[in-house]
Amino acid sequence: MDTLLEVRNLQTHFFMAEGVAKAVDSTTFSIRRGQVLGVVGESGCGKSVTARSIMRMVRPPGHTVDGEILYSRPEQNGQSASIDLLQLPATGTEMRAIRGGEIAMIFQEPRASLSPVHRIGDQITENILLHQDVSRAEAEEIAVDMLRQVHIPLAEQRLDAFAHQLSGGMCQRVMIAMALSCHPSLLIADEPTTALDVTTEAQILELMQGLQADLDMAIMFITHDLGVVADMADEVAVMYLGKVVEQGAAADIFRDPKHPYTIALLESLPRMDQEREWLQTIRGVVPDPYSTLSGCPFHTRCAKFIEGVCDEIVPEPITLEDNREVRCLLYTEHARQERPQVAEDSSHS
Amino acid sequence: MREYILRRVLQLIPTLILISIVSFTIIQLPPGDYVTTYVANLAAAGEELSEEEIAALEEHYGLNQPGYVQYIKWITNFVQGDMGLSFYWDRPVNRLIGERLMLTMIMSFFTLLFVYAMAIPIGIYSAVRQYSLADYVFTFIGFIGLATPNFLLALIFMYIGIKFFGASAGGLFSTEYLDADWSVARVWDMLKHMWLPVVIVGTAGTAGTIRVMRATTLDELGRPYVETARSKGLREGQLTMKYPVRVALNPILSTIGWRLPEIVSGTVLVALVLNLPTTGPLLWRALMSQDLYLAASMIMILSTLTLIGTLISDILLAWVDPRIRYGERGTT
Repeated sequence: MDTLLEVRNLQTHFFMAEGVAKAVDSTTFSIRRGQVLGVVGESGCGKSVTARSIMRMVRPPGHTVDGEILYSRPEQNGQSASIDLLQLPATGTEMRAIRGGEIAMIFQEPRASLSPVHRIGDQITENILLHQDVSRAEAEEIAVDMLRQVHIPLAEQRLDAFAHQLSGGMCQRVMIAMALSCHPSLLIADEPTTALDVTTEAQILELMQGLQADLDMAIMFITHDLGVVADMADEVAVMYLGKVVEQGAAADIFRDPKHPYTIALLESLPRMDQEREWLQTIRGVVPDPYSTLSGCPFHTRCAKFIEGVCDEIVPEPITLEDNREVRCLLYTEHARQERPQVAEDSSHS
Repeated sequence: MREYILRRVLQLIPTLILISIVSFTIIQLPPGDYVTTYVANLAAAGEELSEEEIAALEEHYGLNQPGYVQYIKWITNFVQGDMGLSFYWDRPVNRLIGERLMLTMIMSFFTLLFVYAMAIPIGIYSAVRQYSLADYVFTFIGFIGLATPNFLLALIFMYIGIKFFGASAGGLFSTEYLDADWSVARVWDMLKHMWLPVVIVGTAGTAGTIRVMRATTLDELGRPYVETARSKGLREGQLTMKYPVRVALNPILSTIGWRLPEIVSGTVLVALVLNLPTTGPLLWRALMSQDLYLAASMIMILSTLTLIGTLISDILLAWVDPRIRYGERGTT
């Protein structure tokens, strides 16, 4: 299966009075055509900024300072050409044609993401008219059709509705309809169900899965909910402090997590098949983004911390069996010499 | 919407009645009346009036009747368009106010236009380019404009006008058009004089409105719906005008109503300094000399303008913001 989007060594930094916050710090991952990539991690680990970097929507004081975002675009002749989105001017014609037309995005707060003073129909048709060569009437037809596809009852009447007249779940359906109205090849969903109650969440997830299959698009699904990822994703990328620490097939990662952070995240989940008195937590908190840690960014919280190694050497991504990419020194020769003395004392139950 | 407007117009009636009673009462509250002031002034000039003469004066002005009778007389005539007689000028209030009111309204209109035409674009620019050099410059000028009393500004302009251009900055007409009949030439002459008071009176309003527009636009620029608009691939300028600016205009629109009477009454000092034939100085003198019918009528007109302004604001708001429009009907 071919790669749709490849992010290489992406660096998006925020230049604040307090210092430089490296929100995304050499992130590398890829999304394959028609697949769902789940991006997980705690709050503040750079998931949303990564998404906005791909959309070229990072606002000052944030700037994407380095990296490549290779987007493979189908050409007329059936071939595909790869362009680096970071080479395009962020507000130029070409990038604006991609944004919304080929790569669309939905957000965390569905109601706040819709304009309070414009009708739903106006907001959807706006997107269609921007990217497709159709008349206003045709655009409205497409909009109604999209609203039907996301299972909004009385679609025609809803065109005249305002965001405040709809429930949160309905608003997210509208957002999805809007985002998909131009048949993007990639949908970036930034915690689309976090603000919704669980029943609505389940409905929205089901809807997204259905549409993903129908429209054959890729989804970059950002969430901090591993349960949702297990449900949705083909591939998983685990982020920590602006870096992807592990990427691989979802099934593999859930069966056999490699990175200590992934392991810790999975341990902190409640399980139906195991009896536990207490849920595991990851000790400590995410370090503040202004700090400059030496070595592995996770070493301050890692259960398998190796002194003299993890706090000194910056791990590079390495590929293990079944196409797993892991950024951890445990799987390098640095750890092999010192490993015996580590595992026991740090694995508290 | 039509129902809403009709209901709001009907609500104006009891409010106006109440205002008329209150304003009439307040003008009568200070001890004495026009005749006492008049007599005192004469006495100060060394002329004594006899009891009979004073009684005749009171009779003449109807001041010997109880307050409510005076009120009822005045208000019944007022609604028929006759605002009574000015004691001080000894002329019908209608004739006194007539042209002044029209000139005041023309000036208010241009001032409003000036304030919004300057403030809204500058406010938007300042917000979009926050902390840029231009933003700082506008902010600086804005605060100075806000902090300088208008009449002082008027004095400065007059000084500059006389000192460097040899022209008087006062008045709204050149001498030859002062008492002329209305003609195209007279209107042109008026417009040539009007820009200065418009700028002077508008400065504070412009400065304040820039701050409001900048703050609300900044607030809206960071909202998720703006990000949605950006994610569609809209052009930056296009999306700024269509989404955040549109929402940020709400507080501006909702205060249009307050600007009307503010401009009509708030320019008294400037009008005095610049010798403008507007209503401000007239009201001031009427209040000073307890010129009952003139003062009450003018306050009544100002109040009516305030209410109409508020009504216009509310209608505009309901028109631009569906949340308000539908909130009225109680739908969720």
